[in-house]
Amino acid sequence: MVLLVLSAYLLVVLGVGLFGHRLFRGTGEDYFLASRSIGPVILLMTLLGTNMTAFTLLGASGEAYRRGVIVFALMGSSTAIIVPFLFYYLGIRSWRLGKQHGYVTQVQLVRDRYGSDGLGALLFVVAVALMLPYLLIGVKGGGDALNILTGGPGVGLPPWVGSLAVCAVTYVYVSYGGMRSTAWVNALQTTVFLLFGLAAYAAVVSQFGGIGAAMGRLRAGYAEMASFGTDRFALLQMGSFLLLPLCTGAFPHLYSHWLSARSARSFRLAIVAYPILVAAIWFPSVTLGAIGRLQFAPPLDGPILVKLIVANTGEILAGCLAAGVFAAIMSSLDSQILALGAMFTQDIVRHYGFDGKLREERQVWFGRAFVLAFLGLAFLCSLVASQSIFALGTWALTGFAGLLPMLAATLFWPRATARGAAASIVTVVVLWAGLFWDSLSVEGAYSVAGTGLMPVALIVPASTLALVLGSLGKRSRSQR
Amino acid sequence: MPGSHPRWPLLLLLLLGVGFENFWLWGEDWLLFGIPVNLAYHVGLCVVGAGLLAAVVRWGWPDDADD
Repeated sequence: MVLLVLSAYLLVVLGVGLFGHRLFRGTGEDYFLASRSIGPVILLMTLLGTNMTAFTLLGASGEAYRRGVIVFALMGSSTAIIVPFLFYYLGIRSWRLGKQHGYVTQVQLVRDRYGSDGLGALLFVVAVALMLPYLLIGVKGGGDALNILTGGPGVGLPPWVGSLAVCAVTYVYVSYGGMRSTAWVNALQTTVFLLFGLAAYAAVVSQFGGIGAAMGRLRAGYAEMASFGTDRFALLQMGSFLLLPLCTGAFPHLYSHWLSARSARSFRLAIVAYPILVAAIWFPSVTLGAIGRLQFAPPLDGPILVKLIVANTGEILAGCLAAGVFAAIMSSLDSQILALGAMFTQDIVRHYGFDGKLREERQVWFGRAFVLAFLGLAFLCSLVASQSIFALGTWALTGFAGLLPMLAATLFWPRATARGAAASIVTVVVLWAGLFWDSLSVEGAYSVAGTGLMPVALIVPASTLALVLGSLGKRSRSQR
Repeated sequence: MPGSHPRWPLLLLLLLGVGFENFWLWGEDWLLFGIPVNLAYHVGLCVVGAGLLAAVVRWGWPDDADD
């Protein structure tokens, strides 16, 4: 039954994605940005869907099972507060500059702003390198989820089947329909995982006698899970977690979605509705994970959300959950690979000599080929990667958060120079590599020397300082 | 540099950031509206955030955003 529901869902996704191709106008701008025609509702849904990954459904509930309701603040409300302000400041200005100058990627903006080819190349390499682990979360998450939902290790479908299905379906509709298909499918997928998430929540919570009764039992049996805690680890983690959502402002795929908007006014709905919808997605995920402790004692042999649904509802809802998990995965993966295709086409193929020599439609084929190779690499990595790859995903977010000061300065600080921007990026690379290497001695650790202070709390201030110091004493291009 | 974003929304962001660090409640585990008080607080923070962002969109929209 799980496979039946999931197959039907994937067919619907393919159908919507392929339909988007019928409106394709044959230009690079149409393929990568849907000719900047996306309206407020689709923009909201696609921004939300792109930012919600498999981690939102499976990872957050699993973390809440271990740590309790603090997970909502760490990952839910921090995102709900920070991200809409990024849309307001960076999104609107990026959209306007993109429309004025015909930008499709961040690298084009940075090259133009600082007049530096090398800086653009550096940003390209760092952004693509950070995308690999982030993309891997989705590819591996699809395989693991299908394996658990069809019976678990040794019984269910091997993980490579789910990973391959996620890669194949996403690649087909993205390469065929571009941004228009991606945006439409994202809107559908966001609706699916919102609705299925709430349905799963209602079905499971009713088995516990309602949320009040379940939380009362949680408080009586596991009081530490109902509070945030006052130990030093929790204090430092809460204090520094607010910086992690800054990564959203530096994602190449978010930048593409911003530029696809029909007008600046299209951002208004996304800015206002985003906090409410983020809370609506994270609340069920976190509360179900926490009350899962009442039914399943540790150690767990699979995702708590899946175990709760299989134990308390039926196979049809489990199939719907599988569709919801795949929706969350694919709605991020499609934007990521489309952005990678755009970067390769615009920043490498066009920039380094093929512009004017090849028709735009041919240039897009280079992007498709690059994405196919990159997805293939991610698929191969998913076959050998361990579970700690999920931790690596958090490290990828940290790297992107470190790039934000440079990108924000590019848009808002006239005194920023190419030297400052390069210093900022190099600082991120060096600190990221050092802290990541240091963390390898502790499996899954994401804190500086186990203190609770998150690496992002060091990297963001350091990259900001490098930007400012590097920009001092020299007139910037925009000042000249 | 095109676009003229006002700076006062940054004060609202700062306010929300301070509100995020509700350390005076972190050790509490009592229930409010049937859920732990810290969870209720942060859900409320999201709702307040949406209200403040509506004010930003209404009164802080850059005049030349769509030019």
